[in-house]
Amino acid sequence: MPLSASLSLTATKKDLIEVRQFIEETGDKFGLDPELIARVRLAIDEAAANVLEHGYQNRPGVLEVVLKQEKADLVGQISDKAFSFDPTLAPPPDLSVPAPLRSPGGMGLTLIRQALDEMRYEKPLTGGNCLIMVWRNVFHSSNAAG
Amino acid sequence: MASPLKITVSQEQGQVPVTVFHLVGDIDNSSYEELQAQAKSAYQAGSHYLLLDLTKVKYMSSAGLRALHNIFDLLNAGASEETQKKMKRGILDGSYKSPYLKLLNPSRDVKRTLSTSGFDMFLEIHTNAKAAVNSFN
Repeated sequence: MPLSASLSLTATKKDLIEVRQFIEETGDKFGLDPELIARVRLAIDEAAANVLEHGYQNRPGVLEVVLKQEKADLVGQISDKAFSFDPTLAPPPDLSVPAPLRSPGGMGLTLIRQALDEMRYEKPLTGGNCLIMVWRNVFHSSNAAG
Repeated sequence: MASPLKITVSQEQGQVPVTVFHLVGDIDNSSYEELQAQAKSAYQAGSHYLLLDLTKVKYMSSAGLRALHNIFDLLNAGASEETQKKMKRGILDGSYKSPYLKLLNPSRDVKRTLSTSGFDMFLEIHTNAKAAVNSFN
């Protein structure tokens, strides 16, 4: 059986800690390497924070986080009911400008992109957004059942 | 495990008086404003040299970087125009390290976040508390 776990909550940014706990606990259950768990935690926390701050504008909103095995890959999915926004199209900050001379903030998507192997956006027919994150070849072939 | 941020403050005497923030927990989107607010309070109370002890911070998101950047700007706000120009030249040629804001003992994950974003280029990272306090002058 492919591994799968999900967390569904009506969240504000105070609940990001619960999202990170879910990632850490699920990562342990899946037998993931701690270094990989740290990267998954960073990517999903940043993506969830963007939804809560920009999508829901700091009002409580529905957030669903799924972590699952797809063959040898680990897939993370964040779904929300906020207005449509495709973060994969957002331009990255100009990293040729030294950090102190850039405007504060705006590093979230850069950290996400560096923490994973692939990021895709889907717009569900029922509205909202679904961000899909992929970490390749996480599971060894002996337990890659999905 | 993920945990909320707690901040305790101590005053240390090196070559100059140094305010040390001992941070425990995660610096994330829900806690970075508290860090900024405490830094602002310390600055307004006369602190000009700030050491952030990150020994017990397991996780820092981009919101933590935002806080570091805003605290960096706050501590530089009183610098003269000439000092600001010199600082900008140093930042551009990669030689500048903040004399006002330094970090102590970030974890491997926090260090990765600092280096990905280029923050380790202008913030000194120390591993010894006494040496860190004494490095301010």
